Amino acid sequence: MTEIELGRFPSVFARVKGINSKVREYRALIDPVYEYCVIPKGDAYLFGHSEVAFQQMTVGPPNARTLITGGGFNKTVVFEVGSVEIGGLFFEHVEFAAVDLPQQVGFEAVIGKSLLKHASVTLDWEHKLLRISKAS
Amino acid sequence: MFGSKKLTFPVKGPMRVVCRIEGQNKHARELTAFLDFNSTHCLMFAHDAIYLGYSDVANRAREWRGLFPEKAPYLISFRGVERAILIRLKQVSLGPFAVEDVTAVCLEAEPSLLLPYDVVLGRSFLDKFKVTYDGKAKSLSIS
Repeated sequence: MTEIELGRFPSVFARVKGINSKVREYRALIDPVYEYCVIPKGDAYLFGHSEVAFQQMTVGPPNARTLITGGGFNKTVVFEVGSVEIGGLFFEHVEFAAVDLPQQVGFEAVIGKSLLKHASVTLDWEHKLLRISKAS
Repeated sequence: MFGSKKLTFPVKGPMRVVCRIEGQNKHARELTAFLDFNSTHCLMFAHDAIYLGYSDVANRAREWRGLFPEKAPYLISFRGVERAILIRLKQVSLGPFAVEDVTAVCLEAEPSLLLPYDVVLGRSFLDKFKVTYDGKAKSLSIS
Protein backbone atom coordinates (compact mmCIF):
# COMPACT_ATOMS: atom_id res chain seq x y z
CA MET A 1 0.00 0.00 0.00
CA THR A 2 1.22 3.50 -0.80
CA GLU A 3 0.18 6.65 1.02
CA ILE A 4 0.39 9.98 -0.79
CA GLU A 5 -0.52 13.45 0.43
CA LEU A 6 -3.95 14.37 -0.87
CA GLY A 7 -3.78 17.81 -2.45
CA ARG A 8 -6.52 19.87 -4.01
CA PHE A 9 -7.15 17.09 -6.50
CA PRO A 10 -6.39 13.36 -6.07
CA SER A 11 -3.26 13.00 -8.16
CA VAL A 12 -0.24 10.71 -8.26
CA PHE A 13 3.16 10.63 -9.89
CA ALA A 14 2.99 7.91 -12.54
CA ARG A 15 5.80 6.43 -14.60
CA VAL A 16 4.50 4.90 -17.83
CA LYS A 17 6.62 2.48 -19.87
CA GLY A 18 5.63 1.81 -23.46
CA ILE A 19 5.80 -1.47 -25.33
CA ASN A 20 9.01 -0.15 -26.94
CA SER A 21 10.48 0.40 -23.40
CA LYS A 22 10.41 4.20 -23.67
CA VAL A 23 9.42 5.90 -20.42
CA ARG A 24 7.40 9.04 -19.66
CA GLU A 25 6.54 10.49 -16.24
CA TYR A 26 3.33 12.33 -15.45
CA ARG A 27 1.51 14.02 -12.61
CA ALA A 28 -1.74 12.16 -13.25
CA LEU A 29 -5.26 12.81 -12.01
CA ILE A 30 -7.05 9.82 -10.45
CA ASP A 31 -10.55 9.58 -11.87
CA PRO A 32 -12.53 6.30 -11.86
CA VAL A 33 -15.14 8.00 -14.02
CA TYR A 34 -12.79 7.63 -17.00
CA GLU A 35 -13.10 4.23 -18.68
CA TYR A 36 -9.47 4.29 -19.83
CA CYS A 37 -6.27 5.89 -18.59
CA VAL A 38 -5.29 8.88 -20.71
CA ILE A 39 -1.99 10.20 -22.06
CA PRO A 40 -1.34 12.86 -24.74
CA LYS A 41 -1.40 11.80 -28.38
CA GLY A 42 2.23 12.84 -28.89
CA ASP A 43 3.38 10.46 -26.17
CA ALA A 44 1.25 7.62 -27.56
CA TYR A 45 3.11 8.14 -30.85
CA LEU A 46 6.41 8.04 -28.95
CA PHE A 47 5.40 4.73 -27.35
CA GLY A 48 5.18 3.21 -30.83
CA HIS A 49 1.47 3.65 -31.57
CA SER A 50 1.75 5.53 -34.83
CA GLU A 51 -1.94 4.89 -35.58
CA VAL A 52 -2.84 7.97 -33.44
CA ALA A 53 -1.78 10.01 -36.47
CA PHE A 54 -4.22 8.25 -38.80
CA GLN A 55 -7.50 8.44 -36.92
CA GLN A 56 -9.05 10.98 -39.31
CA MET A 57 -9.08 8.37 -42.08
CA THR A 58 -12.48 7.12 -43.29
CA VAL A 59 -11.51 3.58 -42.29
CA GLY A 60 -9.65 3.98 -38.99
CA PRO A 61 -7.25 1.56 -37.32
CA PRO A 62 -8.85 -1.46 -35.61
CA ASN A 63 -8.19 -0.01 -32.14
CA ALA A 64 -9.96 3.29 -32.94
CA ARG A 65 -12.70 4.27 -30.47
CA THR A 66 -15.15 7.11 -30.10
CA LEU A 67 -15.38 8.14 -26.44
CA ILE A 68 -18.13 10.22 -24.83
CA THR A 69 -16.65 12.86 -22.53
CA GLY A 70 -17.84 16.04 -20.83
CA GLY A 71 -16.68 17.90 -23.92
CA GLY A 72 -18.61 15.72 -26.36
CA PHE A 73 -17.51 12.92 -28.66
CA ASN A 74 -13.78 12.25 -28.88
CA LYS A 75 -12.20 10.07 -31.57
CA THR A 76 -9.12 8.30 -30.34
CA VAL A 77 -7.19 5.05 -30.31
CA VAL A 78 -6.88 2.63 -27.41
CA PHE A 79 -3.71 0.67 -26.78
CA GLU A 80 -1.85 -1.22 -24.06
CA VAL A 81 1.34 0.04 -22.42
CA GLY A 82 4.05 -2.16 -20.92
CA SER A 83 3.71 -1.07 -17.31
CA VAL A 84 2.65 1.78 -15.04
CA GLU A 85 4.45 2.50 -11.77
CA ILE A 86 2.72 4.47 -9.03
CA GLY A 87 4.56 4.84 -5.73
CA GLY A 88 6.36 1.50 -6.04
CA LEU A 89 3.28 -0.39 -7.25
CA PHE A 90 3.54 -1.88 -10.72
CA PHE A 91 0.55 -2.42 -12.99
CA GLU A 92 1.08 -4.29 -16.26
CA HIS A 93 -0.85 -4.36 -19.54
CA VAL A 94 -2.98 -1.32 -18.76
CA GLU A 95 -5.21 0.08 -21.51
CA PHE A 96 -4.68 3.75 -22.38
CA ALA A 97 -6.47 6.18 -24.68
CA ALA A 98 -4.62 8.97 -26.48
CA VAL A 99 -6.40 12.25 -25.68
CA ASP A 100 -5.00 15.79 -25.50
CA LEU A 101 -6.60 17.34 -22.41
CA PRO A 102 -7.10 21.14 -22.30
CA GLN A 103 -4.03 22.90 -20.91
CA GLN A 104 -6.09 24.75 -18.28
CA VAL A 105 -6.80 21.44 -16.53
CA GLY A 106 -3.20 21.26 -15.28
CA PHE A 107 -2.87 17.50 -15.82
CA GLU A 108 -1.55 15.73 -18.91
CA ALA A 109 -2.59 12.25 -17.83
CA VAL A 110 -5.53 10.56 -16.14
CA ILE A 111 -5.50 7.27 -14.25
CA GLY A 112 -8.87 5.76 -15.09
CA LYS A 113 -10.84 2.59 -14.58
CA SER A 114 -8.61 0.43 -16.81
CA LEU A 115 -5.89 0.67 -14.12
CA LEU A 116 -8.06 1.23 -11.06
CA LYS A 117 -9.86 -2.10 -11.63
CA HIS A 118 -6.62 -3.67 -10.36
CA ALA A 119 -6.35 -1.31 -7.36
CA SER A 120 -8.11 0.03 -4.31
CA VAL A 121 -8.06 3.80 -3.76
CA THR A 122 -9.06 5.57 -0.54
CA LEU A 123 -9.50 9.32 -0.36
CA ASP A 124 -9.30 10.51 3.25
CA TRP A 125 -9.95 14.23 3.27
CA GLU A 126 -9.90 14.43 7.05
CA HIS A 127 -6.24 13.33 7.22
CA LYS A 128 -5.40 14.64 3.71
CA LEU A 129 -4.22 11.21 2.57
CA LEU A 130 -4.62 9.22 -0.60
CA ARG A 131 -4.04 5.48 -0.13
CA ILE A 132 -3.55 3.23 -3.12
CA SER A 133 -2.97 -0.50 -3.00
CA LYS A 134 -2.92 -3.30 -5.50
CA ALA A 135 -5.97 -5.55 -5.43
CA SER A 136 -4.94 -9.10 -4.59
CA MET B 1 -17.42 12.89 10.49
CA PHE B 2 -20.34 10.54 10.76
CA GLY B 3 -19.32 7.85 13.23
CA SER B 4 -19.37 4.26 12.00
CA LYS B 5 -21.92 4.75 9.22
CA LYS B 6 -20.90 3.26 5.92
CA LEU B 7 -22.59 3.20 2.54
CA THR B 8 -21.36 0.77 -0.12
CA PHE B 9 -22.78 0.39 -3.59
CA PRO B 10 -21.66 -1.41 -6.75
CA VAL B 11 -19.98 0.52 -9.51
CA LYS B 12 -21.52 -0.35 -12.87
CA GLY B 13 -20.45 2.19 -15.46
CA PRO B 14 -20.89 5.75 -14.17
CA MET B 15 -21.14 6.03 -10.37
CA ARG B 16 -24.81 6.96 -10.13
CA VAL B 17 -26.89 7.18 -6.96
CA VAL B 18 -30.13 8.83 -5.88
CA CYS B 19 -29.80 11.78 -3.51
CA ARG B 20 -32.25 14.15 -1.85
CA ILE B 21 -31.66 17.89 -2.09
CA GLU B 22 -33.49 20.40 0.07
CA GLY B 23 -33.60 24.01 -1.07
CA GLN B 24 -33.92 27.32 0.72
CA ASN B 25 -37.70 27.41 0.18
CA LYS B 26 -38.04 24.01 1.97
CA HIS B 27 -38.91 22.28 -1.29
CA ALA B 28 -36.99 19.05 -1.85
CA ARG B 29 -36.17 16.93 -4.88
CA GLU B 30 -34.86 13.42 -5.27
CA LEU B 31 -32.43 13.45 -8.15
CA THR B 32 -30.15 11.01 -9.93
CA ALA B 33 -26.66 12.01 -8.91
CA PHE B 34 -23.29 11.25 -10.39
CA LEU B 35 -20.38 11.01 -7.93
CA ASP B 36 -17.29 12.89 -9.07
CA PHE B 37 -14.63 13.70 -6.48
CA ASN B 38 -12.68 15.73 -9.06
CA SER B 39 -15.47 18.29 -9.31
CA THR B 40 -14.81 21.13 -6.83
CA HIS B 41 -18.48 21.97 -6.32
CA CYS B 42 -21.71 20.08 -6.84
CA LEU B 43 -23.29 20.79 -10.20
CA MET B 44 -26.97 21.00 -11.03
CA PHE B 45 -29.32 22.12 -13.77
CA ALA B 46 -30.89 25.57 -13.53
CA HIS B 47 -34.50 24.30 -13.67
CA ASP B 48 -33.93 22.15 -10.56
CA ALA B 49 -32.22 25.04 -8.75
CA ILE B 50 -35.12 27.40 -9.55
CA TYR B 51 -37.63 24.84 -8.18
CA LEU B 52 -35.57 24.68 -4.98
CA GLY B 53 -35.81 28.45 -4.53
CA TYR B 54 -32.60 29.69 -6.12
CA SER B 55 -33.97 32.13 -8.66
CA ASP B 56 -30.53 33.79 -9.05
CA VAL B 57 -29.51 31.07 -11.48
CA ALA B 58 -31.96 32.45 -14.05
CA ASN B 59 -29.52 35.35 -14.55
CA ARG B 60 -26.76 35.23 -17.10
CA ALA B 61 -23.51 34.43 -15.30
CA ARG B 62 -21.44 37.03 -17.18
CA GLU B 63 -23.81 39.83 -16.08
CA TRP B 64 -24.31 38.45 -12.57
CA ARG B 65 -20.52 38.44 -12.15
CA GLY B 66 -20.45 42.22 -12.62
CA LEU B 67 -22.74 42.68 -9.62
CA PHE B 68 -21.66 39.78 -7.36
CA PRO B 69 -18.26 38.43 -8.48
CA GLU B 70 -18.11 36.01 -5.54
CA LYS B 71 -21.40 34.42 -6.66
CA ALA B 72 -20.35 33.85 -10.28
CA PRO B 73 -17.03 31.97 -10.30
CA TYR B 74 -15.04 30.82 -13.28
CA LEU B 75 -14.48 27.07 -13.32
CA ILE B 76 -11.97 24.93 -15.19
CA SER B 77 -13.34 21.70 -16.57
CA PHE B 78 -12.43 19.27 -19.33
CA ARG B 79 -14.51 21.52 -21.60
CA GLY B 80 -12.24 24.49 -20.78
CA VAL B 81 -13.02 27.64 -18.73
CA GLU B 82 -16.70 27.97 -17.85
CA ARG B 83 -18.87 30.60 -16.19
CA ALA B 84 -21.30 29.55 -13.46
CA ILE B 85 -23.56 30.87 -10.71
CA LEU B 86 -22.81 29.66 -7.20
CA ILE B 87 -25.61 28.68 -4.80
CA ARG B 88 -25.64 27.16 -1.31
CA LEU B 89 -27.95 24.15 -0.97
CA LYS B 90 -29.63 23.87 2.41
CA GLN B 91 -29.18 20.13 2.73
CA VAL B 92 -27.97 17.24 0.58
CA SER B 93 -28.75 13.68 1.74
CA LEU B 94 -27.32 10.44 0.43
CA GLY B 95 -28.55 7.34 2.26
CA PRO B 96 -27.81 7.86 5.97
CA PHE B 97 -25.58 10.87 5.34
CA ALA B 98 -26.81 14.44 5.30
CA VAL B 99 -24.67 17.53 4.83
CA GLU B 100 -25.95 21.07 5.29
CA ASP B 101 -24.88 24.22 3.46
CA VAL B 102 -23.35 22.54 0.39
CA THR B 103 -22.06 24.77 -2.40
CA ALA B 104 -23.29 23.99 -5.90
CA VAL B 105 -22.99 25.66 -9.28
CA CYS B 106 -25.24 26.02 -12.30
CA LEU B 107 -23.18 26.33 -15.48
CA GLU B 108 -24.00 29.02 -18.00
CA ALA B 109 -23.47 26.48 -20.79
CA GLU B 110 -25.44 23.61 -19.28
CA PRO B 111 -24.41 20.01 -19.92
CA SER B 112 -26.58 18.05 -22.32
CA LEU B 113 -29.95 16.92 -20.96
CA LEU B 114 -29.21 13.56 -22.62
CA LEU B 115 -26.71 12.82 -19.84
CA PRO B 116 -28.07 10.15 -17.48
CA TYR B 117 -27.95 12.27 -14.31
CA ASP B 118 -29.52 15.42 -12.85
CA VAL B 119 -26.81 16.50 -10.44
CA VAL B 120 -23.09 15.94 -9.91
CA LEU B 121 -22.09 15.42 -6.28
CA GLY B 122 -18.63 16.93 -6.07
CA ARG B 123 -16.13 17.60 -3.34
CA SER B 124 -18.22 20.26 -1.57
CA PHE B 125 -20.30 17.24 -0.47
CA LEU B 126 -17.84 14.32 -0.63
CA ASP B 127 -14.96 15.90 1.28
CA LYS B 128 -16.89 15.40 4.53
CA PHE B 129 -16.39 11.64 4.11
CA LYS B 130 -13.80 9.01 3.45
CA VAL B 131 -14.33 7.64 -0.06
CA THR B 132 -12.94 4.22 -1.06
CA TYR B 133 -13.00 2.93 -4.62
CA ASP B 134 -12.33 -0.81 -4.82
CA GLY B 135 -11.68 -1.72 -8.43
CA LYS B 136 -11.49 -5.46 -7.78
CA ALA B 137 -14.80 -5.66 -5.91
CA LYS B 138 -16.25 -3.00 -8.25
CA SER B 139 -17.65 -1.05 -5.33
CA LEU B 140 -17.52 2.45 -3.93
CA SER B 141 -17.95 3.03 -0.21
CA ILE B 142 -18.50 6.24 1.72
CA SER B 143 -17.86 6.37 5.46
